[in-house]
Amino acid sequence: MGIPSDSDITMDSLVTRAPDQVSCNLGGESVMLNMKSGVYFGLNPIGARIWELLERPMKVSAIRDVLIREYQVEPERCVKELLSLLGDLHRARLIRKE
Amino acid sequence: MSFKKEQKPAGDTLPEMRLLLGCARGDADPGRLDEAIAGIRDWEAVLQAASFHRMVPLLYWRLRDACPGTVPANVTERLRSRFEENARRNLFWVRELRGLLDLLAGGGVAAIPYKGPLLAEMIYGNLALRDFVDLDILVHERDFPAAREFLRRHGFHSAVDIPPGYERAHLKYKGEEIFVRHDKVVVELQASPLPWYFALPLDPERLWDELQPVRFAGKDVQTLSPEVLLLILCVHGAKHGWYRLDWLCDLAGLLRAYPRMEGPRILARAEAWGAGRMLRLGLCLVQQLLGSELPPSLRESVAADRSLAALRADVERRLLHEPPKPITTLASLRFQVRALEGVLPKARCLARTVLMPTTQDWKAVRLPPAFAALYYVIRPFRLLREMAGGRIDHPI
Repeated sequence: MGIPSDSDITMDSLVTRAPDQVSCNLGGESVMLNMKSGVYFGLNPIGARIWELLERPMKVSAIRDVLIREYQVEPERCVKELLSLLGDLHRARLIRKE
Repeated sequence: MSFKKEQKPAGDTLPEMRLLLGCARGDADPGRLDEAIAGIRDWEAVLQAASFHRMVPLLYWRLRDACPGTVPANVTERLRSRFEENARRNLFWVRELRGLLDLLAGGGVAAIPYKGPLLAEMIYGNLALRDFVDLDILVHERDFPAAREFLRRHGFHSAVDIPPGYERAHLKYKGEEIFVRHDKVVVELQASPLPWYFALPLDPERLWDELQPVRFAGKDVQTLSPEVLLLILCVHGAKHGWYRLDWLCDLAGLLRAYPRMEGPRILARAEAWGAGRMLRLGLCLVQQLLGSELPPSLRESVAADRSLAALRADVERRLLHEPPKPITTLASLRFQVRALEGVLPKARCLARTVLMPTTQDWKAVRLPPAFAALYYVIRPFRLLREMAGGRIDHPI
């Protein structure tokens, strides 16, 4: 299987955590480990909140709505950063599309 | 071998232990924690105690929410750094455990992981909050040679120098063998969670009838049921004289995470194992020191046991009033005997400890397996000689 590309994740995508990863809460931040590649990935508090939401399958647009509500971020910027992060997590095989 | 009770006056709880107790008590008592922080003059002592008691994760977790300025910034930073390093290491060990379980399963070896990262998930729901140094894996005794071979083929070597021909004897005595790998992963491969010399009538095969699934690293993994684990934690603590606070935290965490455990069943199993006093002691300690709530039948059982006061005082003196250090071999043996009930179990424990040869004997005098019976004579003399020379502070 090839490496997932950025355009694979859209606002309509249903995403969730991938099976072969393990993570822990660092108290505001999170760190996860892809158990196949052995690569660690760290997330700041907003990223950690997104990771928390991804415990169950969730539409990207719904994640955006939660972030706008909880962090009062500007919608356009939120979408850009969210898709960028999800793209990184997808490439690292830490999340998958349902 | 002296079994006189040491008489030492009770001291005050060390300030660093007051703080660690406050952290261990969880959210039950925030005022107590603030008071404990205010009482600290020596933060190096706090860091040393936290390291010894494997409490760095819990200490950091509680202190990060403390009022600004009450904890020196460099202390918080050092704790944060060690906390995150421990978290990453734990994730790595989870990966290794998953790999080992898949490997053993692929080779037809049934394996039950317990404690370690599983206990962190079960009691905290967060792998970062527990500091563990090995992976406990229980296998059937009949599968032990195969499991040992799998580990060896995958880069592990025994941490114990067992002479050829004595592997079975070592397994019989200890119930386990420790394996290490170049990247410092340590596996405690067990045929029984309790050592044979403890003389408790536990049949390890019965544990396989009482497994329960736990969601772990994305998979359902079979592990020991909370009721069995509770008893094993109490026996383990008694084996070591409860000289580390994180063992009490594990027990308290299990009670908190599984409040509906059936007290009567636990009591019945404890009696069947000959570990009733050990169970009651562990529960008494978490109740008194960490404020744990016990199910009614367990609470009543603890209250009714008058023998616990002296053992509890011994533990509190060692845990709270003295600088942190491991219990000596003799003190631990003395504690184990006191924690057993009845003359026969005590005599059996003593006899097995004194008479059953171990790796120390096999190292001291190398004999071929055909002459192994001679160790029953060599061992008592070796122990007497070491006691006379004051050298009995190591594993015997």
